[in-house]
Amino acid sequence: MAGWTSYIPLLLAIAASLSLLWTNRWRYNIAAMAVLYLAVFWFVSQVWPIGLASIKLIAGWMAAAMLGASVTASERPEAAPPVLSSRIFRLVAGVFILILAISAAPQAAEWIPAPLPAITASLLIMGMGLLQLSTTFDPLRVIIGLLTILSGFEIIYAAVVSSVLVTGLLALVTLGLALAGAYWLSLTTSEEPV
Amino acid sequence: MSAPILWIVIPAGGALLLWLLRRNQTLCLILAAVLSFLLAALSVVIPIGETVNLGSLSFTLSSTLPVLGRRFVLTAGDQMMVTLLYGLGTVWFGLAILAWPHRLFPAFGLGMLVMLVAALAVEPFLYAALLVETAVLFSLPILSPPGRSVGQGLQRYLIFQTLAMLAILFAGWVLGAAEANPADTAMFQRAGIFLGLGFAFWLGVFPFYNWLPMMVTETHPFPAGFVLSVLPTAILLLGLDFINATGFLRASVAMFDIVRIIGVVMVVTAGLWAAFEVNLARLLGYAVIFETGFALLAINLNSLSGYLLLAASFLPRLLALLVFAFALSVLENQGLPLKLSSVRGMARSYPLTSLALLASLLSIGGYPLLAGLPVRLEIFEQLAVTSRIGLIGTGIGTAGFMFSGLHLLSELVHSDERTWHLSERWPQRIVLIGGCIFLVVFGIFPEAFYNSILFILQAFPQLF
Repeated sequence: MAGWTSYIPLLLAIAASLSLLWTNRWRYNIAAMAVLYLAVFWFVSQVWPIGLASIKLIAGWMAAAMLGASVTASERPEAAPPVLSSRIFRLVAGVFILILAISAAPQAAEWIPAPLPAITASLLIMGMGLLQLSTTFDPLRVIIGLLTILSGFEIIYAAVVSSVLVTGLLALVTLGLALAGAYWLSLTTSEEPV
Repeated sequence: MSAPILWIVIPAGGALLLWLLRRNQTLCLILAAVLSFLLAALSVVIPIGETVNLGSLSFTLSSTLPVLGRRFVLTAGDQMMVTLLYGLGTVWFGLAILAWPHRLFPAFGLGMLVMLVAALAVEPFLYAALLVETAVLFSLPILSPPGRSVGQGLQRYLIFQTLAMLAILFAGWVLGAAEANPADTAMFQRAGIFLGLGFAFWLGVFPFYNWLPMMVTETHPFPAGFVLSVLPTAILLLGLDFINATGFLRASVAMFDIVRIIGVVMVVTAGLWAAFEVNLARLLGYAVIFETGFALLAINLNSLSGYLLLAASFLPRLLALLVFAFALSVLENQGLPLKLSSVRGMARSYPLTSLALLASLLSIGGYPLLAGLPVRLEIFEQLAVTSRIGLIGTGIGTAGFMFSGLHLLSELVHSDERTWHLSERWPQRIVLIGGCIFLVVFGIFPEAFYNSILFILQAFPQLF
């Protein structure tokens, strides 16, 4: 039985993933990513040594920082906030995913050897990531959506596989996705000689 | 010295060097082509695990490179795959000088090939998912070079490839858990579902293939052709590796039935969409879907003849895609819109490009005397035995694809102009004529080419 402290990162994950859906202001999104990776680190540190688990935190925060720096460098104008009806739709969809994750987690826990809060958080974060991907064409939000899904997956995967090579490669993929996002943000429409 | 150092570490260093030299585009492309050629040639010449004597020099190339508790293994059986991938690199980098001499192509293209070779070499094979994802990340600067905005197709490409990585990684764990407790059949079913999902995302299998035609229209056809040639080939080889390594997959009748149904649906839909398509770049995307459908139909046979057909289909597929992408690049580089209405009457001003477009499209469709026909015929014969409905569906799809070729022909020759002139440059003419000749010679003498590629199955001994 997981202790009540296991539910703190779950609450953090819920708050961060809902805020990613609620607002499209990039500063808030980057901050939410940072909180999300803190929750991931918390869960992973329950099954892995702190040193190895901290790779998730460092890679995630570096990815968030890279995206934040790229948005600043690209001088991209702040997007207009979504209309209230859009926010309500996203929030309702997010709550629906939350209910789905809480309902599905006990069944998943029967065959995945991970604590129930970790499985719930993982399903929730992956669901929220998929929801983000399905509601946007903006390259920054697509990359944030992919990073969200990957971070959710890492919680469950850490419980079943503890390999240094996989950890390193997953960190590489996290940074690679952030780098891809940074590259996409840097693209201009002016034609460059090949 | 080990084989993974020679075919993974050294070319990775080469890719880094090419990135540093990227300002000199032509030099970089020549270096990338030469390096790829050397790597392909060495994989033909040097036997892995045997002592090689070169005058007074004697050495043995070992097969294994341990990294952080895991291993990269390239055995003698894998050498044909390495030859194929670096051979592709040689041709595409070499032709890029004429078609798309972009400064990012040599470094990132070679990086992609290195990652795919590493994916084929890594043990346990579930780690391949992470390396394929890295290859996908390497492909992004090629597909969206500076100056082009990022479209939905490219975004979906990255999304589906990333989801594939997660599904395959998780399938790897589920498979391990299932093998530890063989009595738990539910775990095998879960492993099959996740593996199936992963490969469906990777290959752009129905219904996850809408990004393919979208992506091709958002980028230059040459890099799109490169990525869509190299990536599905490596993933199909990985698929064979998975089937080879997992006994329950080989024994699963249901899985191969599903593969057949999906293959037929892909051939039918790609053929029908292609028949009504007016954008030539999108036709390249449909060609890839069509070819993947036939590859699945070859796999569904789950017999030696089926796997031989899959291996035999690699060369005609790769050749036709190369010729089609190169011909599209000639038009794109002239600033011509890649629309059917824009190529009306072009047979008189770009006769060789028109011929190459037509020959490659008809070859993919399986037109008689062209490279694609022998494999198509054999698959039709096998389908006639196993599934009549599948045969009818595949026939409809093939007819649709043929129709798109004939539609293209009618547009190309429809002109009031009386004069003929060659607008292509001399090197382009040589490549286009060479490509067409290869497509025809391949179709007339298929055995001469197939015998070389069939050795690729040596890497998968359990399939025999």
